[in-house]
Amino acid sequence: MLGQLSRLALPSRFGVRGLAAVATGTSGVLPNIQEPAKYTLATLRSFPSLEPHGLIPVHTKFLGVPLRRDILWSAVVMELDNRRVGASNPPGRSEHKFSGKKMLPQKGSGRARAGDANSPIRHRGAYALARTAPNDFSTTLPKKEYHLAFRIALSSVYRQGNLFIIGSDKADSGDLSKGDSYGLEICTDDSHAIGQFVKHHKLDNKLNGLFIPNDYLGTANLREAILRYPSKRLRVMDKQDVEVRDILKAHRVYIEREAFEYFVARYTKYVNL
Amino acid sequence: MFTRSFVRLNSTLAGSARVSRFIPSLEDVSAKDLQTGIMKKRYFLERTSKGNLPIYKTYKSQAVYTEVKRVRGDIVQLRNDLQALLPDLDKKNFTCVMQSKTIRIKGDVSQQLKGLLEKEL
Repeated sequence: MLGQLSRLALPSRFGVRGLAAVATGTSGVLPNIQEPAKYTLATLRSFPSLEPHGLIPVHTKFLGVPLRRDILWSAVVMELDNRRVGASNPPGRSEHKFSGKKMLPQKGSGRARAGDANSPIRHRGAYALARTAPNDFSTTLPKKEYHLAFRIALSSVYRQGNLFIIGSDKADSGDLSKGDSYGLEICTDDSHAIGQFVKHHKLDNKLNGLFIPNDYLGTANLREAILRYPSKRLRVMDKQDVEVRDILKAHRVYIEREAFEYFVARYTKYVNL
Repeated sequence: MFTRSFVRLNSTLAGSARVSRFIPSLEDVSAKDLQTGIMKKRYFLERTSKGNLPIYKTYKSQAVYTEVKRVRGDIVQLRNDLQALLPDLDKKNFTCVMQSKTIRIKGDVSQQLKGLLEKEL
């Protein structure tokens, strides 16, 4: 019965496709269209136990952006370009150490003609393209593209289940485990606490962890404990300094809710809902 | 789909106002908006910020191509459906560029495709 109905409803050249509730195409030109979900539910957790305490809906244009490696690539290249100090001073042939005297006569020696020893084609010669520091190697990217790269990077971490948003829900009763809080700050600056965190969450000193507090200066204990912990895998970053590359390098991202909202405000300027 | 005034308003919103639109309260979200991601063999084409279809005519080494961009979901399935939609074109004229999620069609079929998909999307 259903099959007969759908056969009547759809043009015959597309065959029978049943009553697909998810397909939103109206005229049946593209039979397999499905509108993506509008929101995704992100979990709010307490720290350091990472117990779930609430849910926030986040628009999929921020946390559900499909992976585009080409855009991530151009964003990372731009970031690395802009990191370059440009302190080198390679000498040109006028500044190089040898004299300007012609090395051999123009004719009659039987060898190829040669000028002075500073020529860049000679061994120990000068650099063809001399520079004087500071050299500016910085490049630019359209803001829209960089913002998209940031959203792609965060979405990718989120999709893999490696984004942990630390914060409280309004509806939450506040029933916390011992030592837990809704922020990234911990009660001690002892690196042993970080060791326990690493062990409990199976970071194994092999995975990179990135902690992004809302108030960088307010997390003195966490920063001190991580500084003393004998591993360079863990990092605490000020939210203003986080780049696409930092997110891509991290295997786990622990971010406070307010810092997450800061990213939403900062990187959605050119997104139309 | 989007009027120009709507686009202007949205792009000039302050950061805090955007946060509440991107992270609404849980009560304001209906279950319909929370369906799972795009399923297997399904796809979607997102319109541009100006409300146009993401279908463009381009030139690559003096050859005319039509590019279908902003593909979400199964790009190969969309290519197959587009091949069925344009039966006059040879199937080898269709290429999927996986990295940028683009379907590249040899020849200019942009106006034809836009006409076909205008009401669909």
